[in-house]
Amino acid sequence: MNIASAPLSRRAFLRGAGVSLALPFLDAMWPHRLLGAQPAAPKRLVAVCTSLGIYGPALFPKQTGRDYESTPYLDLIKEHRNDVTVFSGLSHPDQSGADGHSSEMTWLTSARHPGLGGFRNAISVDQFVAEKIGFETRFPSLQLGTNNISQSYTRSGVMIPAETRPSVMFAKLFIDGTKGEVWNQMKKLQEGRSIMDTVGAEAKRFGARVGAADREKLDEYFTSVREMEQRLAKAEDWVQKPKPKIDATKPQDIADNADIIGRLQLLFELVPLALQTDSTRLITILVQGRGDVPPVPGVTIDHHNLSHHGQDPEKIRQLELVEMAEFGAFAKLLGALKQKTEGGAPLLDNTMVLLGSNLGNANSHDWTNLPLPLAGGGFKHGQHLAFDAKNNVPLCNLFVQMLQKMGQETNAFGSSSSTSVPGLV
Amino acid sequence: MFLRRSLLLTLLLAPLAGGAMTPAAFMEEYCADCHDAETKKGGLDLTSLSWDLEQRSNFDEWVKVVDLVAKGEMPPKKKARPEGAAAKAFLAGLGDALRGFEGTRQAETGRTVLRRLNRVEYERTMQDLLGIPTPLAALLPADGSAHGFDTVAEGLRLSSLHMEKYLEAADLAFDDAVQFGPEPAQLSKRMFLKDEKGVRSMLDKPEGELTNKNDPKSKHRHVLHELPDAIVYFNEGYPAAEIHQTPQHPAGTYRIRISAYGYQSDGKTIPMRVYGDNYRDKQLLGWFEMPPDKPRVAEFTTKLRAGDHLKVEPTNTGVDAKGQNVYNIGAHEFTGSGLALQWVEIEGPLHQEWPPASMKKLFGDTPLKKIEDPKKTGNGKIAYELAPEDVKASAEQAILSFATRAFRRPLEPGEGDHFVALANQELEAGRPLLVAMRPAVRAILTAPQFLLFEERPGKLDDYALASRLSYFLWSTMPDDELFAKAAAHQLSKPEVLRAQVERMLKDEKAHAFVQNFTGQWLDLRNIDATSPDKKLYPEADELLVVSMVQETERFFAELLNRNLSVTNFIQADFAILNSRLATHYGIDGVDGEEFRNVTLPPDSPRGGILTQASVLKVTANGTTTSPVLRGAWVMKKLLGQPPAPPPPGTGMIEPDTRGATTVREQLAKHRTQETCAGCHRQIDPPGFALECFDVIGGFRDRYRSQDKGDTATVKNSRSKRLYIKLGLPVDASGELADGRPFTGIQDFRKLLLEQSDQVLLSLAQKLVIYSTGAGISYADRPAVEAIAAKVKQQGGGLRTLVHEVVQSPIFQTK
Repeated sequence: MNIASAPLSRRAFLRGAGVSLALPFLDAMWPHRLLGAQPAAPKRLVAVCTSLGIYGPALFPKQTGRDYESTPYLDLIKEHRNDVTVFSGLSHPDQSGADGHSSEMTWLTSARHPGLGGFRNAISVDQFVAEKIGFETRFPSLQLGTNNISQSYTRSGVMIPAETRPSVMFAKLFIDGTKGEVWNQMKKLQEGRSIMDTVGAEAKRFGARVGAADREKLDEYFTSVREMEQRLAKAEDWVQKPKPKIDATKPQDIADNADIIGRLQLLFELVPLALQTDSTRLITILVQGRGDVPPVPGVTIDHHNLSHHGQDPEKIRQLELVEMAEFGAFAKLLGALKQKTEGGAPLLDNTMVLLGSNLGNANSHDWTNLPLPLAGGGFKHGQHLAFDAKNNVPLCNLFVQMLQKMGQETNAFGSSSSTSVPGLV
Repeated sequence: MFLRRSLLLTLLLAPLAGGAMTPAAFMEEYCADCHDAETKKGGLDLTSLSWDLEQRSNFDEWVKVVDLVAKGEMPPKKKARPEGAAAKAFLAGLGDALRGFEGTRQAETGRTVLRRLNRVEYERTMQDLLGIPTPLAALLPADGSAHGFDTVAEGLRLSSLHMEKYLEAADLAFDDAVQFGPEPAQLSKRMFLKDEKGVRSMLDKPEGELTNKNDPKSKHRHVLHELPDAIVYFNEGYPAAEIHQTPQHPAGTYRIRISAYGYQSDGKTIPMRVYGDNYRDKQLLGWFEMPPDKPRVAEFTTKLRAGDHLKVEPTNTGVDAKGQNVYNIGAHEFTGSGLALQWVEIEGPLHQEWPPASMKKLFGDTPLKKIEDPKKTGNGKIAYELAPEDVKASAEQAILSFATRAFRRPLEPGEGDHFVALANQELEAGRPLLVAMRPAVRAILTAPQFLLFEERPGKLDDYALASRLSYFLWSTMPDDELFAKAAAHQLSKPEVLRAQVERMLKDEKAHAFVQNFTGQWLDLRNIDATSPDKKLYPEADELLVVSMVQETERFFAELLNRNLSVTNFIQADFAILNSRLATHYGIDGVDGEEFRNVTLPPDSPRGGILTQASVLKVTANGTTTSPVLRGAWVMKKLLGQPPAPPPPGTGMIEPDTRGATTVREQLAKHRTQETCAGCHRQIDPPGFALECFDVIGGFRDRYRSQDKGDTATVKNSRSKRLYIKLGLPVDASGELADGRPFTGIQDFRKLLLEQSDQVLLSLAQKLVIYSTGAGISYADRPAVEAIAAKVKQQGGGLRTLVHEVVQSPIFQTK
């Protein structure tokens, strides 16, 4: 009896970094962008959420318009002042949910009352774009995070888990498998397709036995199978194409889970690399510091506790230290995106970078007046655009404007009430 | 008025029996003043609400109308209100219409829509189906929950991401089920701590030697102490006792014995924590109160991962009476307490058979042959091989029998063909049985028949009933006995069903019900969502948090096993405690880590779930409590009457721990502003009563403060030297919405007891939601009320409630 395919080797292959199945998310098969026939640089979107809020008094300027006086946090990105718009008075309506942190699920979707009753999440703004242009890149979108929670949700409201290890992401992006690995991967993909074929047929048989009310659910199954087949087919194309060669080495992961700043920085370093090689055009990053003390000098209390500072000046001081470190990392990201150029223009000009939070005031789990600096992407920046703190402008209005900037022909997204926010051009 | 135009349905215009006014006239008379297009009070415009019940949101809106009138909340007290008879006729007319509409729809399609296994059920099912211990849930995307539970169809979405992960999980499970290796060597070894290399290097190196030659301060100091019969560990963390004398071992179940005693512990026991540590993370396997001076052998059975080694640490040790740490003075001088560890024994892996049961589950009747001289094959790592006589017939038999169990019912003619064909393709290409089985098994495990619950409108057939019952009480697939009862068409007989429920509840698999139900009903799954502030709550250690969850699970299990009344959730004269919780609650005479039923002193503020530390912790953040959040929690979880979410633009109170103001003072606005008071009269009172419990469920009469206040030591801890600041006094009094006052938690619970019917009804609803996978709709209410009424008649026991849920038509119908 042949026992050549001993379980261990297969598992090792499956778990091995750099050779995991890099399956694109996409709706349909389309011809690739023709090589060489690509004049305009593509538009990109990077959305970074710090789910424990950003301490408002240290971020929001008192004045509006271009001549605002800087604040402690904005000081840290002051060299990018003309590339950043600071918004205040934006939020999604009806975000009271199952608990104080539920709006973490809806920052990019705007679905109402997260977690309550028969809540169904909606598609996130990055996936909305990925559905349309994702086929053009090896990765339709990337989800990165300090734990495996992400802000990206599929059309059926399922969260796409985030990759936490920069080394693994790096390998997926840039390291080619060996010949054997590629062969194994191809075989796995083909097996996957024939399984999808089979279960699709089974679902038809199953469908004959279910009633009308169940049909919708079964359709969800069908759609999942069909999409999976397409993704597998697409993956077969990509598996055989060499990955882009870059001048960077594989990052070393940080083992200390509490070190959210260090880990965030490493994830940020992947962003310009992934964008410039056009490996993807959509990236979401979630910084979720929950119950531990980040190794930031001067910080002794865990991050979640700090966010519930209860007006304790010491906690606020420490919270500011953590968030300043986050802004420091953000400044480096903007710097790197500016430094890299394509067609003579900085990468940042074609890349919208949103840094913000789903909480306006984490101390009271307030989900209004969200902190939202937006950089790059070709907007005219340099202002503080403030809207009514009591009756916030829907954040989705900004999303629609961003979608249009990305070339999406859409006039509405989520809870939008308009296609732009006043003052941003 | 505009009302008439939109109310098209004749029902609304038809006079009701006895000549009462039509519903339309009723609404015009009593509702339209405020709820028309101009005023739109509370955002509700009844004139534009159409009678289009197909629209889910319309239907729900009408139900809200009926509910508010039925409760007498609408029309409000200040307005003209209908007489009893008019309101009754209105409610009956509208209620019947709503019920009739939904009843018809349910009869056609069933109330539960097609649902899939959630990831907990998926993992447990895979483990039973394949006989493997592999954890798989973490591999799958997180499940949504709806109506409070992750068993409800609406929340269980599917995407291509799921397909990707199901394929991956099936691969992993297949790998773990396939075991051709020789039987793993049995470990059975007593290991003395004095022989550990790490211990020797710490103790044999003379004190005073520099660890860093350039740093005169780096003098080596002994922090462990060697006794003739043991090694003493003083510090709570590093250096912990790490057992490295075991060779590599496979994942599995092991029996562990540890001999140790409390050293210099002044007659007190020392808690000993035991972890499995694989260097990436450590899992608490158990903890034990070790007696002073006299060794105790703690024995337990546990699962170990392949890379785990044992790690043992003491609690409440390492600091002496003067507050000096063992680190600063060294073990010789140190007079504080420690844990004297003698030896550790590991025995296992404990399994019944080899090759493991997974091989039979996967390969069915295919003979498995022992290889005579394993050295010749695979370096001795392969000891068995499949020996099919007719490889195609073997594959077919194995696949069909696997699919039958996976689909939880007999296959229909030809149903297995597609799967067999996948294997045949491989066989025909000359590949062996093992290789050929993989795609077939992966396809079965991704097929709709496996992932989805197959139920047809009307009464469930015996197999569908077996599955519903099994996933309710075990969160996994039916076992052989349930399948046999279903095959014999016996299962739907009331007495058979009753006997099966009894059998299933006695099985240890029923812990899944206790854990998954309480985990969601009482939010125990959120226990680690926040960590208590270390400065405010220095006594909140790991053992406390672990014990909290166990208390509530065991309390639920106690009610279930002894069929005690559901009113115990509100008020009980006993608690299920171990030493750690008893200390926390200030109850004397509970020694040892084992949980037991403890009769509470008559003046104890404890009793019932609201006073359990777990519930008090999940309803607070790590720093402060909010009566609003706790009050809303009580309404939602215990009474089943969730308050409406705050209207848009509501300000949130800003938590403040500086010690100058209390949350009650901050909430004063609620009592004075009429717009807030309307809802908060209902929401806040339970929260006020619970103000006497802090964020970790400790009793308090003063708030702890970060800033202002008197310094004191923590009382509810065995560690003597934990300091806190005490600030303003706590006021736990209040009054219910109807004006009845209470002075504190005991008083409040008495008032709450008057609502025990509502608590029973609410729990019945939640059990029906959890077990049937669908929310309670308007038409379902009479059925659930009937369950609650039957249970009340029989004394209100929790076990009776589970039986009555299972016996009810709503459980046995799609």
